Amino acid sequence: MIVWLSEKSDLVPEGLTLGQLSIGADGSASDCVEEGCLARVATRDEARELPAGALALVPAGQGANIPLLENLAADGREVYLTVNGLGPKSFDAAMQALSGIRVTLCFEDASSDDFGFFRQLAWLKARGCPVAVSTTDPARALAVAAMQFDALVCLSGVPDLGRMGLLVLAREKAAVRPMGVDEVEALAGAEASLSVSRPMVAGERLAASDLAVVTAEVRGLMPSLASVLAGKTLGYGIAPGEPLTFGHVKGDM
Amino acid sequence: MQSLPVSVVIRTKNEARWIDACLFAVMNQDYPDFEVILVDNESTDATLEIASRYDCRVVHLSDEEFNFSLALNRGIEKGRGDLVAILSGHCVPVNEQWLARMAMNFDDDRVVACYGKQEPLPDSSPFDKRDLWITFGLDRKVQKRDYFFHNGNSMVRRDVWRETPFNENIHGVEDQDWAKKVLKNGSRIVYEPTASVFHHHGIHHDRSQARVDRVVRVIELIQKDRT
Repeated sequence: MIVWLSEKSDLVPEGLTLGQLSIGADGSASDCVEEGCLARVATRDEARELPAGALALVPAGQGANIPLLENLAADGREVYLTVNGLGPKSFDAAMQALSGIRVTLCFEDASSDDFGFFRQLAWLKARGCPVAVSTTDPARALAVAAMQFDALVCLSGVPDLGRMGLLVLAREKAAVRPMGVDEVEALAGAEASLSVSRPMVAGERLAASDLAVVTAEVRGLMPSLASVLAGKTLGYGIAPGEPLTFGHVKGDM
Repeated sequence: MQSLPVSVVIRTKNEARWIDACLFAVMNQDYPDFEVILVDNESTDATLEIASRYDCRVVHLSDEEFNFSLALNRGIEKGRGDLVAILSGHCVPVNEQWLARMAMNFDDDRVVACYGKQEPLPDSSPFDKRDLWITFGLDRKVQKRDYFFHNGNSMVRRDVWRETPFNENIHGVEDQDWAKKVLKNGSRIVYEPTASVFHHHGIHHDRSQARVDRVVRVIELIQKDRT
């Protein structure tokens, strides 16, 4: 995921790419000098000033400016189209004007309620093209990272990049399921645990047939450890139904 | 929470009775990325022979140089994990969730350290049972000023340890000395009851008079910020 920042940040967490956002001191793209920069472009003059290799961010309210869009399309430039204010017909017209170039739909968050924000995200997700979200709300920025959007546009300030990086990694390296404190606390007394199928005393060796699964408090061993525990000697006695722990297992010496 | 790599540092001195169970429990943790470093202080029993059966690195510390803090610092500096789990060689994690449930607390950037529950075993002395049951409760706690912390079963952030290593000028109670220092900048320490270990002889080692005298001396120094 790419995060466009107007302020510089040295922190680049794994999974994130930081991009330079130029909104221009006077609203123009004239100070956008770096290739790969995302620059705000609201007029055809600004479009002409845009350096080669820079991406154009069409701001809210300019999505219906078809001559501007056609100009950008003629340059073959990648465009971030801010969809705020576009109705169904003007949206279709804008997409028609930009056909043939790479377009990222951008939603500029100004919602006061979460439902309005998430409804916009759902609509954007259904469009089938890359999506960017612009928000200054830290929680909503994290939602953008968690919901696999392509870009976050930060018109001011720097979001919590560290946590955003963790969310992107949690998504991309799905091998490890994140586990939270609240989730664990909610499980108290309800987890599957190994136990024994008969009363056993210290010194007895655990056979696979001695092991049983019960629902117990959180401290018992998970059932998938059964094969590891079979053959181990008990250091302490245990009754059926009692959760089996590593503490029951005696060292070999 | 992305599972951060963990270095498990285990201190040993003649732990043949427990180290097999300890390492067996550690090696079977349900955690994706951890290494084990054993810091041994001239064990003369079978501790090292038992440890050699497990995939762990051993750091040797002589009696002349031994110090509880130095042992930890040496072990931690040999590791690479962003988080460092600290365990006594005679403590046995209760289940395979010990590491994961300690580490999950570091999702909060303000949390610099965590310590887990310690439970007696059936044949622990009544004194040790009483002390462990009184000290380690069932509810999770977030400590902002309270610097009780116990390295029998704990986890710290490596970058915080790098800035504030364990104090080698004191002999024991290095955990509380360290905790008091790192809490001063708004950090938090979490007590996590689900990250539990069995600790046969408890945190007060039955009724050792020599030990209690030494511990009290150090705690008095910590209270006065004179360590």
